[in-house]
Amino acid sequence: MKNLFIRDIKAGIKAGGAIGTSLLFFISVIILSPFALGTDKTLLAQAGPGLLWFFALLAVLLGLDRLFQTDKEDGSLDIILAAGDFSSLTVMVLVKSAAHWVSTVLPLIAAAPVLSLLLNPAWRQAAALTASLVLGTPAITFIGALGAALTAALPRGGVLLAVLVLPLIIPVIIFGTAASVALAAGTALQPLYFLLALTLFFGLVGPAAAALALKFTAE
Amino acid sequence: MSLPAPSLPQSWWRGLSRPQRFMQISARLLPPLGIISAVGLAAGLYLAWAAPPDYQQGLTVKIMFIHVPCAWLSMLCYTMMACSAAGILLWKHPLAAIALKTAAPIGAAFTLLALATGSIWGRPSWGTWWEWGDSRLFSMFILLLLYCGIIALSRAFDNSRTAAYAAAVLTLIGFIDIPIIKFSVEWWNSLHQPASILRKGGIAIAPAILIPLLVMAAAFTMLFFVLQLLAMRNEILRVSLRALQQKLAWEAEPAAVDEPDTIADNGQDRETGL
Amino acid sequence: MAEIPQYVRIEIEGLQAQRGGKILFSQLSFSLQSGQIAVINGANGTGKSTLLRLIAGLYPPLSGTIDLSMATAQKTAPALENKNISLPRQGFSHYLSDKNAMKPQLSVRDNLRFWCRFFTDKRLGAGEEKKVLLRALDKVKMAAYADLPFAALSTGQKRRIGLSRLLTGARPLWLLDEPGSGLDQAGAALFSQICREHLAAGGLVIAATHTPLGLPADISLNLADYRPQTPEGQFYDPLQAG
Repeated sequence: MKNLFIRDIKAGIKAGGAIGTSLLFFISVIILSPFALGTDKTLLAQAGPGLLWFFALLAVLLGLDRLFQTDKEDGSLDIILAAGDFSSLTVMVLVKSAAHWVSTVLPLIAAAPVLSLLLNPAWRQAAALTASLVLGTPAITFIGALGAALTAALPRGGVLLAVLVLPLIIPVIIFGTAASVALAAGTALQPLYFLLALTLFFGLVGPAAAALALKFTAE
Repeated sequence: MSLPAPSLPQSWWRGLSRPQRFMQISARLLPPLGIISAVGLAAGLYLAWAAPPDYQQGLTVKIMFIHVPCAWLSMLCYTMMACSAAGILLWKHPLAAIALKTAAPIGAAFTLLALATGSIWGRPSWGTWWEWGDSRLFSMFILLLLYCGIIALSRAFDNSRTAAYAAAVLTLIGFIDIPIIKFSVEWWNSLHQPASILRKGGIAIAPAILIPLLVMAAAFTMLFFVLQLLAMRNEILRVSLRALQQKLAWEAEPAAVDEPDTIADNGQDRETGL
Repeated sequence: MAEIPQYVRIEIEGLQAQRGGKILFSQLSFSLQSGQIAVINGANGTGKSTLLRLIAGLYPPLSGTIDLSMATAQKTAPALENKNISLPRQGFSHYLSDKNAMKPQLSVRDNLRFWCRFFTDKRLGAGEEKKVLLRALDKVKMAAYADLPFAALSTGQKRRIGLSRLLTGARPLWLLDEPGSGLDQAGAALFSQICREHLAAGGLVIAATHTPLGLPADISLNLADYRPQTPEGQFYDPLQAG
């Protein structure tokens, strides 16, 4: 399974800069946001964590539709599906999601503190936001993997994936932003624990459901 | 050609899995169910009309007699869909696939009604059409989004077997996720709202209001079953019609319909209906 | 590299399949054992690919069974009936579709290494893995292309690499969907040779193809013979079904 992880990361890095595209999208929308909201410093500082969380969510979802589609197009998904039972497929989805997270989401998180500082020059908030993203974005990838599995067979699954997944990840957005605010303010860490619980929960449920979806929708 | 046996546990259950049997049973059930729901609705509306106005909210409280049954049905319908989804995944029950597909738009309609009536009720009693701080409104809206997602997904595939399985997985995950969403929205609500104006649950329910409410809820539930049975019959007829069209085309021009890719999906696996 | 078990048998009984709601074939039965090749013929749309995907286990048939059994030592057929072990289909077959299952942006070597590790349970040593990959590439005369990205190859070369995947891990049953598509004459000859060696080692091949493989077929099936002859048999009507 380390094997699959390495292949996906390599393919991701070499895939015509797909990683860079998500990152560029993320940076661009953040840079554009003052044009929509105005340059009021207090407003931007207050909106900062929410904006970053929201755009990170969109950037993650944008690339996720390719998670299984490339494998389906080149034929390797058939071989992986034929070779696996339910539990090994669940592990497979988990590994692919992890590879996607490392190759696509980690660069976003690396850029997040800089972007946060642009909106609000407070180190503490930047660090808190980054920590909340590290803990929470895996949940988005895991439940997004279910969306990717459901829409893998569809030619234009990208938008449908977002529509299917967005309602399901409302808790992640709620606790993600709350956790970053709580961390920055040094108040109770309750939302952080909820966020962690969500990531663990979706880490279990998302890949299992995605494996079911892939297995049942193979044709 | 003989049909292979579906993988179902009991014989009556298996018998019911045949579409013809379902058509017979539903044809017998529909008239009495329709009459009951019509009578129930008439009685419920009369009782609601006759119910005393609330001492605080006045006449506007009567929206409740529509709003609460709709909200109840939006949840009942989703629960029924989750059961159908389990039926699809565990037993490949052919009727479950049809039930899941046809129930989603009905559930979405009731959810939309619940939202609309809730909003209309909110205007006089809270002074606003929409209140971000109310977790019930918000959860209802998310439920509507989920319904729409299931509708979109179950109609996105050419192959109805694939569509049924995909919709089933999504429905079940949504079913697991709804309590989490509800909890997190409530938690978020407690952060952002001074929860003072929004205690509509604080109305003491007097029998004069409770009885019409229960009658309305029962009548709406009957109405739901009538609509669902009709929709399922419609879906079976649609598939049957498609098969008839294909047979006619095949008989007229056997060579022209050889390529399976050019044949529109007529919907069903022979064995399972999935 | 794991060895192919010495005696393998696949039995297909009363298979029925649909695609897009249309019955493609029914009552399809045949059996195949070590060293034998079955060739599936039939016009486009008769269900050749569907049959291979059913056997690969990608989805279940409408009815009928696919049984795989093996024995570690060669026995006479009747004795085997009692002693064989039925196997799950996972890890039993190589499935080659019309696609080559390679990532275009990765090098040929990286692609094959991935599949080699995917098909082998126990991790091979670096030297041994190299040998397996080299041997697989050698068999299709593509060893010189190992470091090129897969996307840089021509159609025929890509197919050769796709075929060499079958040699990166031992699987008794090969399911080949139009294996010769895109291959030139030399490539086709190489492929016949690879199949011959696989059969000689006790393997089985089920190939769906329009073009002759250059091998004598032990079993030759035309799926057109198994399609339902009446419209009632082909289209599912919920109100007519028994």
